[in-house]
Amino acid sequence: MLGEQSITLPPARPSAFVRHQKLIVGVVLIALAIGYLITTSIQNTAVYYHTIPEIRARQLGPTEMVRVNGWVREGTIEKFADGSGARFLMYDANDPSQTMVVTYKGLLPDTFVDGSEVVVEGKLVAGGAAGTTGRAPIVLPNGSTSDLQFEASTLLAKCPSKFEAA
Amino acid sequence: MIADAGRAALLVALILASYGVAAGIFAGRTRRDDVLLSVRRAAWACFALVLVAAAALIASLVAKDYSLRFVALYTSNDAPLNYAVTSMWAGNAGSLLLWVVVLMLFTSIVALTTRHQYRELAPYALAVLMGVGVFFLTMINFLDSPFQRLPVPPPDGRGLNPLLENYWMQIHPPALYLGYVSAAVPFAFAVAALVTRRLDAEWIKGTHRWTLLTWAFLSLGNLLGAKWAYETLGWGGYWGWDPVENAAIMPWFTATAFLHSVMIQERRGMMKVWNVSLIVATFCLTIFGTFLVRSGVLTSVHSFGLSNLGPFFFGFLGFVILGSIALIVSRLKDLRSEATLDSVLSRESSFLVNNLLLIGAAFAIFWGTVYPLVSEATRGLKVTVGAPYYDEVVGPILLAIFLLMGIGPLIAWRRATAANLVRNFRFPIGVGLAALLACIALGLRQIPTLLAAPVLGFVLGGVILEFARGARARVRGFGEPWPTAFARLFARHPSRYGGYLVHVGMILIAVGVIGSKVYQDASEATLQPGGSTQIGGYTLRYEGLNQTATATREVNRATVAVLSDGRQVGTLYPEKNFFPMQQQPQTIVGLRSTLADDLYVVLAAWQPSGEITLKSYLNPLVAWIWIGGAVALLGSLVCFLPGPRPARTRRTQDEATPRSCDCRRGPVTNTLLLALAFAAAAFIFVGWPFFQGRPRPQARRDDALAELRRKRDSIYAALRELEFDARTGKISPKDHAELSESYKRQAIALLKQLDERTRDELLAIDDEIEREVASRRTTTRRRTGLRCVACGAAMDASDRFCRQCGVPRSRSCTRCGAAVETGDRFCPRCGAGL
Repeated sequence: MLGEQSITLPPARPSAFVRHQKLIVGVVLIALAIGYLITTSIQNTAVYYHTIPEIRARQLGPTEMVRVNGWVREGTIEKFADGSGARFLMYDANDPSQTMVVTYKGLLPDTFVDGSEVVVEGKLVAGGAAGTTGRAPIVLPNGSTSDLQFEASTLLAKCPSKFEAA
Repeated sequence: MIADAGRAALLVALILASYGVAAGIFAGRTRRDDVLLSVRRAAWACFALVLVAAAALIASLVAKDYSLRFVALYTSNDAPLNYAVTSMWAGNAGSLLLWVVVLMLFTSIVALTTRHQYRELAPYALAVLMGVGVFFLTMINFLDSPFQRLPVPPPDGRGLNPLLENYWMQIHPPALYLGYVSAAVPFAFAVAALVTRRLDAEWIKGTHRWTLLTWAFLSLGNLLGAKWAYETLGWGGYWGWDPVENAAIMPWFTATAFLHSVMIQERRGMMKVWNVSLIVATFCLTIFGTFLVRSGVLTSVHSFGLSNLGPFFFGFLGFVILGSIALIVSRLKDLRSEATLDSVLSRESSFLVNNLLLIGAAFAIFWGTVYPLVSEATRGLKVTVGAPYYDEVVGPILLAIFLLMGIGPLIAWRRATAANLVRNFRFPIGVGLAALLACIALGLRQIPTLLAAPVLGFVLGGVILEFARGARARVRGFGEPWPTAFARLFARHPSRYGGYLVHVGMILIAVGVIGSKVYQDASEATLQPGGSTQIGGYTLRYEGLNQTATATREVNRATVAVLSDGRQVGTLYPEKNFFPMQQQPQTIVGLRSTLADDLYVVLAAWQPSGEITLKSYLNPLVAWIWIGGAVALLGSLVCFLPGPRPARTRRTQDEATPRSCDCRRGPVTNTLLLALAFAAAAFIFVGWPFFQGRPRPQARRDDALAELRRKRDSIYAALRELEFDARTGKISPKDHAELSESYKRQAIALLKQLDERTRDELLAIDDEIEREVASRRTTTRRRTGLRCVACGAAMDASDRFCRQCGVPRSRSCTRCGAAVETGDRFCPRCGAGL
């Protein structure tokens, strides 16, 4: 019998998880919040990034915004006199016979010149798998045209700065 | 000839760097000082050689040597001197050379500053830096050389793209490169610490300062990039979430996170794995950024076009990431925390959350940047996200980061109590509410403003409170006048108050960003001469169009008067120029910048009749972005101050001067001969330590002792901080007593350990003294001339028996020194007993 003597055990050290419970909950909550923010935002803002043959093949809704990558065919740029934008023929990097007429409204970047690589974002107004909207196709001043007609709201031209063209 | 020298220098530099890697590892394993010295010399020689290469490239650019492809591509006969020089970084090959020059500069500095410290880490750190150098040197030697020749030199170069002929463009890439490349140094130290398992406070101390440097340069590079975009691209903004911009801002976020969490490690020895990972992530992100602009995998406004370097970068990046992960995992045991979190309500946990948010922001940006690749790989469809994504995701995260920026400094280390929270938060919350009310009263009721105003006010209030309390404590404690007290805060606690200054800079930047994003006004008008248009409170009156043309440039410059309340306040000259040779248009923005707003006018189009179309933007508060940036940089400079205990590093320059020869032979022969000359010079310089004979073995410093001293210093620092916190009233007297007690107990324990260690040292000194005394005695004995009769060994005057053979001394009397016979019992002269 131990009698009067009582043994006091040191209190058991709780596990790391228990000690940091609040912190771990907080960390998980923050991570979840950021993850949620990322996923919903991607759903809301993502746009498809296509080449010209791809938009020809895909059903595009009349208001669906897409991004298209291609090159400006030399000598097809028609700048609007009031500086409000331009029209040009864009062709596919892999298959230059695949073309699209792009109408862009907005300030033209300096990098946008004959033969530059561009990315346009906007919607298809005629042509493609979804059929035509019945609008007459736009013919550019040098006579070139395409069944695909695109209205761009943004135009990104690669900065030829560091562009090794040779 | 000049180009040959460059080519030869690059080749020898590659060989030297490879040698440096191997010799560095060897020096680390064998701890041979001569090998380590040779590695340092290899680093210096490498730096000298890449400088020669850079000088050769610049000389070729200035001399317009069009037989070089790079020169023919990026400069032209009419290029002025400054643009001829800066066209070095207009192309891929030249910019990689700049990368290597900066890397070797930093490697040389590391080689210099580690002569007297980091003895164990230095060889591996140098090996890692040289390894990174090997990678880049291989690329510019064999894959994309700036000294590549053209079979037929053209009469004139293609010229630098006019868009790059801009002041900001001359300084922004080098600044960003300094930031990118300096991230390699902390990485090298981290790898060295992992390899040697010396994961104590030593490496983290050096790494902290280097990361500060990385942070400052990254900030500068990003700011200058934003300034360049704003002033030259002509779209009215300064940040477009372009992949290249994202690539430059991601390492900034991880470096920021490290600079905060490293404080926890310095104070508490916690979060070691996390800190090492942040260093590795920062370095990987800088390589990723360099890779991004060269690989062509993502569409960006400024990429180097498709080049063949992508797979190499990708391979290197993969190697670095996998290697680092393997190294960290294998050292997990050595990276265990020395302490645990005391309370959820403490500065540690607020730093933890701040880190999480900073990394979250970096990850969100990363995810958006690579999303096209991810979606293509997983769904077969390329999907991109644009500026709206980043605004939606990064905006809220930044708001939360700012909130923590306000909370962090106000709560104490280890544990904060409700009472001192109330005490500390009253004033900042008041300032936040005042900011909110002010915005509402001013009619600024947009949601971003209403969210940001109280948070920014809160942060500012906290910083003001910290400065006021700190200065008051000095005024009361040391009787200093207020201005002195204020200035001494920076001198005595540089990293604390420098950090607050950075926070103030961030607040100003946030004000500028919100002002220009939420309240931007844009208008477009087609005007006849004399016509006018309105934007914001300003009237723009078109005065006339001035057209001039030279062979290389057609200039169309509009004169636009700016009127405010009917009074002319300025004149703007927006230009739309054209370079016929390059078929390149160029927009020059008419910009009137004031603290309240920027008037940003672009000449969108012009008619021969003189009719023009003006696109104008009113960007409120943009100037505060640049001012805030300057304040933040100033703050980081203050952080760099050595603090109360000056840490001295000697700096001397020591470089090899390579020689050139002027023989006229074919380029290949020239290159070969020059390479041989460089190699010979480098060989002698680098190999010199081995011909010095075996080096004197240097006394190894007691590393454990040094580690104890560092721990003691960090506890002293923590105590000092605690005292300061108590004096500024940040923590309650009860907490102060308790924490002070615990720190003191730790300090005493450490001091005891130190004493024990030093006692050993003292004992060693005692031994030394004993030995010295003994040897002195021998010499004195020799001087007395007494010798043993039997064996002839030297004897002291007091010796009665010979130390060597035990034969009693007999030749002389001990008292008077008179000669005696061996059998005599008394001295025959003085009668003393023998």
